[in-house]
Amino acid sequence: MLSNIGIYHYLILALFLFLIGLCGTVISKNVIKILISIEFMLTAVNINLTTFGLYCKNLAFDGFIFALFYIAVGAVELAIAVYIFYAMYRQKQTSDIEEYDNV
Amino acid sequence: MSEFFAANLVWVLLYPFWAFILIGIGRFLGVRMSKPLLTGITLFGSGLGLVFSLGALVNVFINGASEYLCSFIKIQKFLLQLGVGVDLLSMICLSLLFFISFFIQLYSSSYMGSEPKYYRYFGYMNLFNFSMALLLVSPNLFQIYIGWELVGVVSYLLIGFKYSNPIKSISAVKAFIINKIGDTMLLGGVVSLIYIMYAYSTSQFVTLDFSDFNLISSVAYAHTNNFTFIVLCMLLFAGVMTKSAQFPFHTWLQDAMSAPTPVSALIHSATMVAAGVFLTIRLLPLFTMSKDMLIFIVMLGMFTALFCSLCAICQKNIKSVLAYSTSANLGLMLAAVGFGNVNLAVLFLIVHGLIKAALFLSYGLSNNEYFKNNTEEQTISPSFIIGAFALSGLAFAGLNCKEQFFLTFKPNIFLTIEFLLVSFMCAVYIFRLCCLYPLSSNKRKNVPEQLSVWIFLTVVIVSTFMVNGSILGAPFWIAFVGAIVAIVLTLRTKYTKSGCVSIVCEKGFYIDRFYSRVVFNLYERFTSIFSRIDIWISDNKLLFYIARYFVRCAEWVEKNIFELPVKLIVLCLRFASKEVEHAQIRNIQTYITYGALILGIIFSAILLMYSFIINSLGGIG
Amino acid sequence: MSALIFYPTALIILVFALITIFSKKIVYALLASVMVFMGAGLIFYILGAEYNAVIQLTIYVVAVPILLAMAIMFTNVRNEKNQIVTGARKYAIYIAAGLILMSFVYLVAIAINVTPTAIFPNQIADVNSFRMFDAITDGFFTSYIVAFELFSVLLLTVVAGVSDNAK
Repeated sequence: MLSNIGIYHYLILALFLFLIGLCGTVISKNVIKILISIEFMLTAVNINLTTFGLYCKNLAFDGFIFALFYIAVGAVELAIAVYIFYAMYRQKQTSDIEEYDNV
Repeated sequence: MSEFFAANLVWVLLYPFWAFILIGIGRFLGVRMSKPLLTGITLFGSGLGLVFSLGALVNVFINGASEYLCSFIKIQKFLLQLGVGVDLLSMICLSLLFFISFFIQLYSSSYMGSEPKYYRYFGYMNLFNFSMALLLVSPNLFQIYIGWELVGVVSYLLIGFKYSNPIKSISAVKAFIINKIGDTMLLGGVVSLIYIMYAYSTSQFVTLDFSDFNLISSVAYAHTNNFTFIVLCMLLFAGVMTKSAQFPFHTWLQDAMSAPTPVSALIHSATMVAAGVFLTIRLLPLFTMSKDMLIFIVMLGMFTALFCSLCAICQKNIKSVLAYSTSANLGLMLAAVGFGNVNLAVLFLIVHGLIKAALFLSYGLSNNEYFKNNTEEQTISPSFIIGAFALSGLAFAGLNCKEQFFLTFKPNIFLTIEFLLVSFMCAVYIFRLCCLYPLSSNKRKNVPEQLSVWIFLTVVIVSTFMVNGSILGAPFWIAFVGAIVAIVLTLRTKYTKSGCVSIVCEKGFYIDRFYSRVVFNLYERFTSIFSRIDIWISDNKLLFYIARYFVRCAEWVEKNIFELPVKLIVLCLRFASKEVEHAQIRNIQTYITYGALILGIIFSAILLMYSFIINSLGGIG
Repeated sequence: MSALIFYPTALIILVFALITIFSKKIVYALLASVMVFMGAGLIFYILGAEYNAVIQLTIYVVAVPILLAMAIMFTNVRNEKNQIVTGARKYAIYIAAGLILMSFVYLVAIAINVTPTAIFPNQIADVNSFRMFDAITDGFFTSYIVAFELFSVLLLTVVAGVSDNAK
């Protein structure tokens, strides 16, 4: 029983991680923490894609390729977000997201 | 019943690893585990390991050897498996490991009680148990290499346990570097063996399983010339030489004594250094192919025994005498393996491990490391003298082992004389200690510490009657004479400060200084040549001008050609972003919340409707 | 064997994710998030996606934390207090997350009996490192060539934009 890890184990894990990321996006004030939470959601989606890539035979590893694209998107998004954060921080001198009401 | 122990051994062996992770993560989270809890976790792992390895040992006697494997790396036909190989040798060594580590952890629980980094010590102890078990149960050479490296790392961490003391941290680095040299050579040997297997044999042999090591070694011998084969064997044996502290590399073991005393007892005398003997026994089919290699092993072992005994006679510190003695006794074991008497080597490995653990622990009973490490303050406890009797071969299990050694070496007169010399010197250095330092009642009266020392000694005394051998032969009388000589000389002259010979011996024939001055100096000279070449190139004006010209060309190209499309894209984006700016909204987090809430409601509503419909239709599946 | 790795790894991922979003200190949050990304890499590895695991480790465990650490270091974020919002929004998102969680768990509970035809829950595709690399390279350069090129353009755009504005 223990050795049998199926598709649903991975899906539930990804679901939990996604929900934690979702909560983190909303409840935290700090911009950097929000960015990390968004990365959590991306990682959860990646786990989902990889799982489906493995378990659906007729996909032929397409899930893996999409996961790679997703990782690239995540990195790009983070780079831009950190840049915007830095530009905003120079104006406002705070990392509180509620102060950033006019981008 | 006994198959249960063998089949579930893998879970028990993984337990210390998870315990280590648990302790580490607990610290990261700031959870302060109480000391009894930490001790309980660790002792539970060792005790469980002891029970299961003894059960598996019984299973080996009933059902024969077995393997429990899982695949680790799979590249086309190459399938590397890790797991637990249950056979006689590995289970004996595993039982010894868990037995000694159980009682030493019990000892540490009170010995290290005042230590602020108690949790770290027990975390390392768990990691050591795991990595040593990984090494001992390995079914192939790869897993041995993994365990080999891990054990070296734990040894480094524990030698430098009090890293704020610069001497201790330097000795830790020294032990790590010397071990690293051997590890690298071992890796080279493993890789060359794999290369030979790839070139000349089927893919089954590439994973270097010990179960078909006879065939592997004959393939390796058949397809290499004599010189290459010796080089291959030497590369593999170099790992053994560093880990077991044999002659050119023995210097790290003396510095390793700056570890806490229980660590010295567990790692640097009883279990980790014996891994070299273990690996030699495992690789014996390979070494047997070449007679020169066997002769080399015997000669090296005997030479180390002689050399280190000579050094041990003149040491001032009790722990460094014990360290040299460990090197010497490991040399004897290697000589026995090279002579073909594997049973004797394993027997002496067990007996020596128990005696040395008892000696170190009784040293810890009467001396506290947290006092100044001054020579005059060291004392001897009564249990140390009993251990001394066993180690020198005057009584108990040590006597039987020495007799067996004498019988093994009897065909060769040269080796016999050398062995008698070694056992004479062994008696001299150990009884010299007993006379030189005052006998004291124990400074530490904790029950766990006394208990573990006496349990080791009891096992040594009891095992005397299980090992048969002729009694009171030549080694006994030689040791007896040695003891008398040591007692008389020490009591009469107190020869702590005598002539230049003893100083040379005390410094270990200046091998350490040779390494630190000559070898390091040569290395520096060698690197200075390269730095001069570097300076010559960087000072060269012509090269500099040519390089500057090329850089300017590249700069022009970059500015005028490559940046054009980038500028174009930037312009486009600037235009686009001005358009998008108007669509910005205030406080995006509120919008996310509303979105998620609506999404959740929609999802749950759809699913409820779905299940309602299915139920009303009578259900599916 | 994969159970042996999966359960502890999943535990590590979830625990560290929770630490990340609830910790008061931003540096601790960053360190814990590194553990989460590492755990995700391990999950990729036991799923057989070794290449993804390596990419995940290089980008999320090395590059992204360094970028964020730079952002933390260059600004004065560390000394700010009270980093969790208070109020109705917090409880609203908890309720939403709970609803989504319950509905998906219910979906899985149904799907254990009714399996879509394209998915074989207990039947894993034959994973072999070489086959996987073949499939990935084929995918990049045949079926998804347009997407691949678009990504290169996107990366170029980002580099250009950031380097232009950073002057």
